[in-house]
Amino acid sequence: MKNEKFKLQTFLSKQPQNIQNLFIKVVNLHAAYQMNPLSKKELLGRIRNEIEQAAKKEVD
Amino acid sequence: MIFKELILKDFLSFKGLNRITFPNVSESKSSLVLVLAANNSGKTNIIRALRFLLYGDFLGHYKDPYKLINDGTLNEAKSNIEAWVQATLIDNNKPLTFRRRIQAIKVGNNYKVISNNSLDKIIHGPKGDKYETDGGRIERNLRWLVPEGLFDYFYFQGEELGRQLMEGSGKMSIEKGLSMLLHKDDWKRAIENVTAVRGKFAQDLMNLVSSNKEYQRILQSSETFKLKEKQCKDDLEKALSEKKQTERAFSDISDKIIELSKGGPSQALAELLKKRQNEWRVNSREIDNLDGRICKVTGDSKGIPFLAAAFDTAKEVLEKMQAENLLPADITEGFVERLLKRQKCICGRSLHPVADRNECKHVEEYRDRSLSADVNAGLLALLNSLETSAKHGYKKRITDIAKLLSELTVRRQQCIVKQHDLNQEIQDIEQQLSDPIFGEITKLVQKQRELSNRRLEIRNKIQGLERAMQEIKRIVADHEEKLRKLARDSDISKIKDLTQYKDYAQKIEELINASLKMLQRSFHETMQESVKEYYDRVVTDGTRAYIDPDSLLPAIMSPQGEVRKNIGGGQLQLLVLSHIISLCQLRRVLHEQLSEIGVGVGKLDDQSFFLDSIFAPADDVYAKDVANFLHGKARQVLLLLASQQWHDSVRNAIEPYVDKAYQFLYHTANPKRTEEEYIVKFKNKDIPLLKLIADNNKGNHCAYSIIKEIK
Repeated sequence: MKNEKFKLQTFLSKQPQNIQNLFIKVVNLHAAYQMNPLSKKELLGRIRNEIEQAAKKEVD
Repeated sequence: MIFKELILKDFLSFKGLNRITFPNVSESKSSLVLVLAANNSGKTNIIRALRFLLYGDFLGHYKDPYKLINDGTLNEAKSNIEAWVQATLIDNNKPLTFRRRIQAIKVGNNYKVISNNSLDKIIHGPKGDKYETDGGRIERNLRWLVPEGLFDYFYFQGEELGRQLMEGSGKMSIEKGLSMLLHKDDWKRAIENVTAVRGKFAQDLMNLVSSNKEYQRILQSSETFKLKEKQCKDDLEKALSEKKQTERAFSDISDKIIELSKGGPSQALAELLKKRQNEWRVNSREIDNLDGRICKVTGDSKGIPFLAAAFDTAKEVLEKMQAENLLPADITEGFVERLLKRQKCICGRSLHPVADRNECKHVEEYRDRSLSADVNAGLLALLNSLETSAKHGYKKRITDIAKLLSELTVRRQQCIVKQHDLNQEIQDIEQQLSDPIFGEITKLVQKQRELSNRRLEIRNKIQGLERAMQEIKRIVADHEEKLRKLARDSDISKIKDLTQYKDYAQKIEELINASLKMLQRSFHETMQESVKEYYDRVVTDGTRAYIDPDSLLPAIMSPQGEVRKNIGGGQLQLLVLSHIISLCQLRRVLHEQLSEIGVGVGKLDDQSFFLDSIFAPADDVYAKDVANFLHGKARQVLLLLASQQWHDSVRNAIEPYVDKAYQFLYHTANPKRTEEEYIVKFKNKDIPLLKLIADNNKGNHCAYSIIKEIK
């Protein structure tokens, strides 16, 4: 199997930096490797918080 | 998940303590452990023990789990009985040992389970081993390492896994397992949750602006158009994907047509044409040869056959002519005419001065003689001196010549008829060869035409969708501009904030969605390429491996471009193994690349494989290919083989790569076969797989196996 880079990396690198960071944070919140997964309510709260923080940073 | 050791104590058919130790191998190398066992001696119980250990599965004995304990051990037990399965894994380069056990006590003639399904972590210390009951962490880790839906995938019995992969079925859908293993589930959950958060932002925004009717109207309209935009985008993605698939199928068929036109039926026709053309040449030579012979016979006859009919008359005429001093050259008008005509045989055929040199010579000789006064005089003298018997002799010669000429003429006629037929057949073949709408090619061309039409339809659909998208985007941008103005006018900073949060949520939702689709395409392309690389170069029937773009499950594609799932035997084994190996490699690449962009997935690259009876349904042709295929493809492979499958071709292919070998020594009082049939060869040594035990008059139910290393 060729160890070629998936197109995802190139695609993500074209996004604004704050969107890239937010994307990674949100995806990592759902990563199955987490041994102590969050409850649904906690998870939605964390996502909301991350989005608000990212939007505020852009304004600042 | 790489094993260091697996121990079974009094579990199912294994009595006492039975241990399989795996060789240490570095990350870049692979190891092969072979287990040879007689039929019914508990090969599959190794895999069942692993299912019990990983998931606490009672293997069908939910009501009476004590049946997981070895029968002999149960019979001999006086009070407490314990059976367990223990494994040591290499987790992040450290050993992790855990054990799942089942305990029972004997009550009268029955057994009562007092503890089952408990998983303990074992901590090795200088003062002995410590047992620590798992609080769920190891269980979760194990399920993550090997999703239950993929258990059969990694620890499998050949045919069963083949069926599951082809049908996408299984205890837990294998498709779901693949989705889990490749993190697709996580990403889908992320999309759902971000959508929920966006919805909440939109709801909050709606509540805030409810007093502003105009703002609310535009916002609602904007939301509706955004939904339409999303739908339109999805449809566009689907259409683009379908376009790509159609183009790929079109290209495959084009390749096939080119391939077919190189060989196959057209080649057979070309060979037939060559054969018929050779026959035509031989026949043509035969006609020339017969012509030559007819000329020679005619020449050698010295004109006798032509005089036969006029024998008596000739005598009379010649006598008269002699009396009147005339030449006898006008016996028949046509004959004389032909006789006098240059470059013509007396039979009328045109003669070529060079090609028919010999014939010309004979004819000239005949002319000279028949037209010479000497010959005529001689002939007359001959006729005068002929006796009746001599006349008969001449007549016989004349008959012979006529008969020979007749035979040669008939043969010539036959040759000419054959030549005509050959001409016709050659023309037909040439016509077929020059005709593009022919046989299999016709079907493919027809299919290609259908695909071409479909491609055109999709292209029109895409154009329509793109136009619709542009229009929707324009309307959405217009709405947003109006909303911004209204928000400024009303000076509600909260509305501005919420609008921005909602937009951010939407961007992230779209980004995850697009990334997942991109990953799915990369998974498909990578799997397709990899499985093809392993499968296509081994199979001999012209089929190619095919991976479904959505489910990533395997199938095969016939030379006519049809996707089929109804395959079996060695071909299926090869496809399944190619799929497994490719998936593991894909997972490794995925983990490396997600780690590079900062998405945490842990390091779960390596996978062990326990393969039970993979040669049982394999065709002999493929058994060797499958055996050769195994080497070096995975870091750890345990191969469970029944003695019947350990035949010479498999043995020769596998034996050189075996790092460690074990046997199941089957203890029974009632073997099903002779003792000799339980002996297998390994590295030129006879290995007995049977040990006879004394009959305790309890039938066969106390038969058991022990695992021994073959040294």
